[in-house]
Amino acid sequence: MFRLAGKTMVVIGGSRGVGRRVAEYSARQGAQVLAVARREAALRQLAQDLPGIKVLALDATLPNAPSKVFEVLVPDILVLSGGAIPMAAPLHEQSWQDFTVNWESDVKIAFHFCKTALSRPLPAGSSVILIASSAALAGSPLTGGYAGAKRTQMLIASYSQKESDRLGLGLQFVVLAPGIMPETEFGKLAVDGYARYIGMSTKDFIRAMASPPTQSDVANAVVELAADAYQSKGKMFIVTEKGLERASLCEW
Amino acid sequence: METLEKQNILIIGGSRGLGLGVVEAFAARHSNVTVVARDEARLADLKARLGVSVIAGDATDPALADSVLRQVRPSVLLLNAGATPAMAPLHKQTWESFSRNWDTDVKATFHWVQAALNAPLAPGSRVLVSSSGAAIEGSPLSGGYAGAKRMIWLMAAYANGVSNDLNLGIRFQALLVRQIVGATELGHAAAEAYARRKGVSTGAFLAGFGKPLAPRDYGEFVVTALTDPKFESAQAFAIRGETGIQPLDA
Repeated sequence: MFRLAGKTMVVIGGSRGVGRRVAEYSARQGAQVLAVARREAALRQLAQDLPGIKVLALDATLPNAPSKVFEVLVPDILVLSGGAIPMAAPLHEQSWQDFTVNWESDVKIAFHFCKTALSRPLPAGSSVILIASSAALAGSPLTGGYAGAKRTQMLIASYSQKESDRLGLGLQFVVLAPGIMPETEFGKLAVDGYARYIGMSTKDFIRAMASPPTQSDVANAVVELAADAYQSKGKMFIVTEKGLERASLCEW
Repeated sequence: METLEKQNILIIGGSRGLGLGVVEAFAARHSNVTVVARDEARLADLKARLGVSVIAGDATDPALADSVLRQVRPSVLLLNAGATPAMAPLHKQTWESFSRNWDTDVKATFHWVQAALNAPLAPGSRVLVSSSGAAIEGSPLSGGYAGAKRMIWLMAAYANGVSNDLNLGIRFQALLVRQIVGATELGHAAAEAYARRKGVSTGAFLAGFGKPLAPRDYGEFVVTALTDPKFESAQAFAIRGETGIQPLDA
């Protein structure tokens, strides 16, 4: 059974990491997928590897990015997975530019796309799935402003859901908060950084992590939520290797 | 700290609002208070009225943070500088208005915390940063305010980690006012917007928080946090007019 048959999906940050996996799994479940990213080479590779997927190269942090994307495809499901890779260094060794990189990328993308989803608006029944991070709950002392930026993404989803409900737009905003995925480019960097910081080998550090999710776990979670987003609207989920777990963020 | 008398206290953003209440509370205890703020007229008034030292400058300027810390050598640094958020729902914000508190409150806190660690301040020094109850409850009409305030709370935790690693003995603590304060410019603007959204009067909305928090009372609570040993090790405090100051577990 194709769980996303007949659905259109846009994946921001679809050329690498977990976004690429989401694009792949969703296409396999019958969705018509448009992968959006900045780097053309990575997109060309994706289009070559997975011929059913359409690609669009643009900078998703620009204010007009959402309207450009929606000109190409109006999604039933919009997945926001794009963002920057922060520098791994303790607070006193970061520059303000290092510290603010995820605000200027991850938060900006969430802001522009959620704002446009509300003001355009996207058709009733559409869902926006934000991939944040469990760092937003626990903090992450070696990655500058990353945890605050991810927390802000969650708040953007929460505010957007409230606004959609108030205006009767019928949109669903859902947040996924995966833990560190040691296999991604960012996950590798984070795991290396923390292991070095506490004087452990990377291998031991990963072994000590409580059920770290894989990119596949997260992509499966997105498919599951996308197939039945109404049930999940305004909610947040943590992803572990065991699957989805409803998170209780007190303000949600 | 047993007494605040003759202690060097540096307050960033102390010319109005809650920060002014703190300046008054310390001045009343004969601390050596230095206030950094942008508004020169307000600073001149503060100097004349309370006899505190004043420095006019932009709290988000890293060079200012380094030079003032070197000059003042404070045993208490209170970071209170921040912007009044643009009050509007998310889709009526611009990126610039949404980011205002990140670009001001977070940036200023970042530079002063870094300067405190790199100077470094003397062992036993206390650095108080201004988070907010919004960091817990969210603030849907204030753009990126709640996220920025969450970041400031996290930064206190990160800075304590650095202080421990480097054996600096500096303690960072976050202050969270868990009610909207009608007496400040920021609080009044927020109360008006949320009251309008709820369809109630600003007065009725503010009454929902119980006993109002006067800026001077806030100052007294901050004094308590510094002088009562039971507040020495907490990483964050919740402050309300009704219940005063309490340690808060993250």
